[in-house]
Amino acid sequence: MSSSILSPLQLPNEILTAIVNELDNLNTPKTVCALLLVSRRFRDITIRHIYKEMDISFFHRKQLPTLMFLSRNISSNPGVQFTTSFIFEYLTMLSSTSDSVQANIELILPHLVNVGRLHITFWPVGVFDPRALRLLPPSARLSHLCVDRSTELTHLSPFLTRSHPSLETLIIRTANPRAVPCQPIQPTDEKLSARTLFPNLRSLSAPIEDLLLFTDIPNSLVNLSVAGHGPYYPVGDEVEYVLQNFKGLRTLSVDETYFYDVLVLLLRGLPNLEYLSLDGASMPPGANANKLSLFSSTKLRYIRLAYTSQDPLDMATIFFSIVDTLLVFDIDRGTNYARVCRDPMDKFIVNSGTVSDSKWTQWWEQAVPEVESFKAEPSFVLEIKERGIFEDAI
Amino acid sequence: MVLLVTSDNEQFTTEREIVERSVLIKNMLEDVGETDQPIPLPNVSSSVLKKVLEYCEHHRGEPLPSADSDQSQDETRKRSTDISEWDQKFINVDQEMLFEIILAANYLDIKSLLDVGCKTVANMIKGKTPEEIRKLFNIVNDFTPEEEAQIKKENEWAEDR
Repeated sequence: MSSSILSPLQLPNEILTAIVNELDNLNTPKTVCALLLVSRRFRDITIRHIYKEMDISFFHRKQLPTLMFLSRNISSNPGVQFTTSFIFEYLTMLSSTSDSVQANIELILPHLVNVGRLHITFWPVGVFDPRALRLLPPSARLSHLCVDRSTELTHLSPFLTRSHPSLETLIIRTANPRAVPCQPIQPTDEKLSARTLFPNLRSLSAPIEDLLLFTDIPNSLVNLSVAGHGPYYPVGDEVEYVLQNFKGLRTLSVDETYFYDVLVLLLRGLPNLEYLSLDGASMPPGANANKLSLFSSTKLRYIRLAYTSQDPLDMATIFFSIVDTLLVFDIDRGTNYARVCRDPMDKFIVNSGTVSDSKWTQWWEQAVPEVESFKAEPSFVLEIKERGIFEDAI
Repeated sequence: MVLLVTSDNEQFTTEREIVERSVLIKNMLEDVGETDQPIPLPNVSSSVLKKVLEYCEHHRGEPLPSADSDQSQDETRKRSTDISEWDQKFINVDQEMLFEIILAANYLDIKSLLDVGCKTVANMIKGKTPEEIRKLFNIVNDFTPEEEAQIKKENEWAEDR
C-alpha cells in the first residue's frame, strides 16, 4: 500500500469522467457546476461533460442576463468546442423576450463548430426564425435537426439547400397559429431534392402542405411524420403527393391533423406500413370497431396512440380485434406509456414504462426491440383479463 | 484454482470462477490456458486485493456486463444510481481504501465494482460547494479569483438544467 494519501487527483481522467457521469445521474447540476471551480484538473474534465450536450431551457425573463453573458462571451468560452448536441427550449408564455432570445442564439450558433444534433423549441408563444441557421459554421455536420415552431418552411429553405449528407432526422414544426399567423409554402418556392441534399435521411417530419417542397425521396427514408397546421385543411393534392412520393414507407406518424379523412387515405395508399402513431386529434371522434374497420386491411405490427382521452383498454381491445398482424399497442401519456403486447402464445402482456426524455429518440424506436422479438401469429383470441393492472399501468 | 501475487508479494489462492469477474484476469487465463504459474498483480496491494476478492466472491455467478453495454445505451439516458445494501456496506471504507479499490477495479477491469466506487464518490460530492469538495479531498485551489468569477458566470446557464 502506498504511504501517501490518495486523492481523486491521482485517479486517471477516465475515472474522474466516470465520477462526473455518475454525479450527473444524481440530477444535481449545481454540484456538477461546482466541480468546475474545484481546480483546473476538475474544470478540464467537467467542462467536456457539461458542454457535450448543451441543454438550455429558458423559462423566465430573469434568465436573460445569464443567457446574455453566455452568448456575448461565447467566442472565448472553452467549453463550446466540445458541444456535439445543442438543445434550446424557449418555454414561456412571454412573447416579449422572444426576439432578444433569438438574438442571443444567433451569437451562439457560429461557435458550434462540432455540433451534430440541433433541437430548437419555442413554445407556446415564441417563434424561432430559422434563417438564423445559416450562421452555423461549415464544420457543423448535422445528423439531427429539429426546428420546433417557426414561421414558414420558406425561411428554412436557404439552409436546407446547403448539402447535408449526414442528416438522418429532419423535424419541422410551424408556429402555433394562435401565436403568429402561418402561411403555407408558396407554389413558386424552389423544390428540395432530398436524394441530393440529404441522401441519408431516415425520418422526415413536417406539416403536410410543406411536404410538397420535398422531391426525389431517398430510399433511406423509413419514417414520415405528417403534422397538421392549425386552421389549414388539405385540399387533397398534398395527400396524393405523399402517396405518390413516399410509397415505400414503413413508419408513419400523424399528429394534430384534425382530419380523419387524411388518415384514411394514407392508410389505404401506403400498403407497407408496419409502425403507426396517431394522436387524439387525428382519430375519428367516438372511435369504435366499425369506424376503425379500415385498419383491418393494414399490416401494422405496432400502433401508438398519444394525447388521447379514449379509454386505453377499449382502444387496445378494438385494435387487437381488427388488426391481425398487430403485436404491440402503446398508449403514450407524455411521460409514461402503457404497453399491451401479444406474446408467442397469443396471450396478452401489459407493461408500463417511462417515455424516453431524449430529444434524439424517435417515437417508434422505443418499441422496435419488442416488436421485432415477436413472430406474427395470424389468428388469436383476444383475452385481456387483468383490467386493474392495465389501469394501474396508465 | 488460481494463484495471484500482489505488489507487496503476498500470494492469494482463489477459485477461477471468482477471479474471472476481472476481465483482465479472465482474458489472461483464456490466453494461457490451465497454468500453475502465479499471476503477478504489480498494481494491487494485498489489503486491496483482499477487499476486491471479497467483492468478487459475493457476486460470483452473476452475469458480466457486455463489453459494449455502455455504447449501446443512449448516452443521454439516465442510468440507475442505486447501490445495493451489501455493496454499500462493502464500500464503507476510508477514503484512501475507496480510491485504491477504484484504481484496482479499473486496472483489473471489474466494471460493476468500478461503478460502485464511482457512485460512492459521486454521493460524497453531491450537494457540496467547490470549497467543501476541495476540503473533502484535500485539493488545492489553483484558480485566481478573477478566473473563478469568469468560470462561475460563463457556466451559470448549466446550473438551471
